[in-house]
Amino acid sequence: MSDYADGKNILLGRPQPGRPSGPSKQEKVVEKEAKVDVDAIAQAVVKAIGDKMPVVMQGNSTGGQGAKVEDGFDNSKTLERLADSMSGHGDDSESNFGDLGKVKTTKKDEKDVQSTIDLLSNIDEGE
Amino acid sequence: MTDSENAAKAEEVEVNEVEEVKFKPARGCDIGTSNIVVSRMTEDGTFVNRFHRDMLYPLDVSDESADLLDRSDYLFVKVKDKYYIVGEDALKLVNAIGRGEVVRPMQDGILNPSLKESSELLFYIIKAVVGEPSVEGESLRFSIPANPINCPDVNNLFHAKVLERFFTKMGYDSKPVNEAMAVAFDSNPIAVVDGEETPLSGIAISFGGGMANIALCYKGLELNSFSITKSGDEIDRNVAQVTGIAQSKIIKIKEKNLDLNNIDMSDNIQSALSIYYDETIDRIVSHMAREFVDRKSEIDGKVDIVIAGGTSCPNGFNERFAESIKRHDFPFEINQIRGANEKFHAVSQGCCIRAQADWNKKNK
Repeated sequence: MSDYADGKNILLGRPQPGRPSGPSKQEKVVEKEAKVDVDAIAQAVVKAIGDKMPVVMQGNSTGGQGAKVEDGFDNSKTLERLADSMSGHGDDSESNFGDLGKVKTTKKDEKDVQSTIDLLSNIDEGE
Repeated sequence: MTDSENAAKAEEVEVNEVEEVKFKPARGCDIGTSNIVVSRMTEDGTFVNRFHRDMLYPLDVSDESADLLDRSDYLFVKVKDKYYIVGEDALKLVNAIGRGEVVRPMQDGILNPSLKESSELLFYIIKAVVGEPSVEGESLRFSIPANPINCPDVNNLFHAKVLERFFTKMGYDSKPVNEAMAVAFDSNPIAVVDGEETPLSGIAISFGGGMANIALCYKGLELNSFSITKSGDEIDRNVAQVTGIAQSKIIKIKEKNLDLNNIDMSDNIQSALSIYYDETIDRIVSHMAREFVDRKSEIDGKVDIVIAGGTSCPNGFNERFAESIKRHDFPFEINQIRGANEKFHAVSQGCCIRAQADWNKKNK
């Protein structure tokens, strides 16, 4: 037997097991489209708590996105071990220099730099 | 004494003078596709930036190459069966020999996967440019790119981990920082709301060799960031292809002579550089606008856009960028578009400022 008649699901009109066949007198059925603007909420939170907000480390910031692979397994330990094994040089390699590079000095407004440092010192990166 | 010998001597003197200065215990490091730049701050607030071109010229190990290296003052790393001439000399050598191309330990902002020895070579270079920490656990911030929106397979995590291990082994207390955010820390974009200015709020862009990095920030917090590949190196590659001139020569011409406000269109190289600069700027701005709209990025008031990075150094870049911005729709109003005072050093200086904040916090 089909559950559909004239393109409508006829089962929808039937009472569910353990449920009354229609809304009770105390129960109000409110049909309203729930539209959540996540960005607006995020902006409001930033405005409200400003500097105290911990930084959510997206993959862009510290590469966090890549820490979990698609099957949900956290492979960050493997990456750390791999990185450890690659962050050095072999015994058979050598170089003929101790230091490298040219030097250029620049000067910025000390007050500007200090106010930036002060602002950043108060940011919690959520470590 | 030749000009290059004079230059080398002047550089040496400058370096020795710098060593006697008292530095604050924090360093910033811009590990770019084209250059590595390290910044330190002195007690009187001067930034001392050391930079090295991040490129190599490989030579097979043989009697001839050993003889060449003996007779010259080229700096090199020997790994397995190859010598790698490092830095500016790599570019000079490839231009002098007239064949082959320089190779890079970095590509598109991360360790070059097609160069087997990339991490080992980079480690040598980083150690020599950054130097030993001045105090135990000196704070260091190094730049990493955001994951590119036009190259979904590229992930920066492994790159960041390798670099973090490099610096930890050297004795630093190191952390990564988004490259575009470093530009913001250096150049302080402002958001203007009802006539009031909010610091470290707006858009910061780093136009590097391998990619452009973009961040939207509010009060020093990163709200959104992403990168777009195909930046300065792509311009060089394309110009080399259409003019038939080696990419290494194009790099030299671009860095020495290019003025985007004054292009000689009868000169094939200049006109090609101009055309590909336009295309690159437009591509990046177009991706940027679409990405901010798609991510529903919003910020109150009018915001500054600050520009930095080696690719943005030619005179006239800011004007072309501003023209492109006018042709695209953004989900926020732009206050002003300005270049960093030190476009080439902005990322490393921003990293240094961030590292100084880390140090202050740690030693409160």
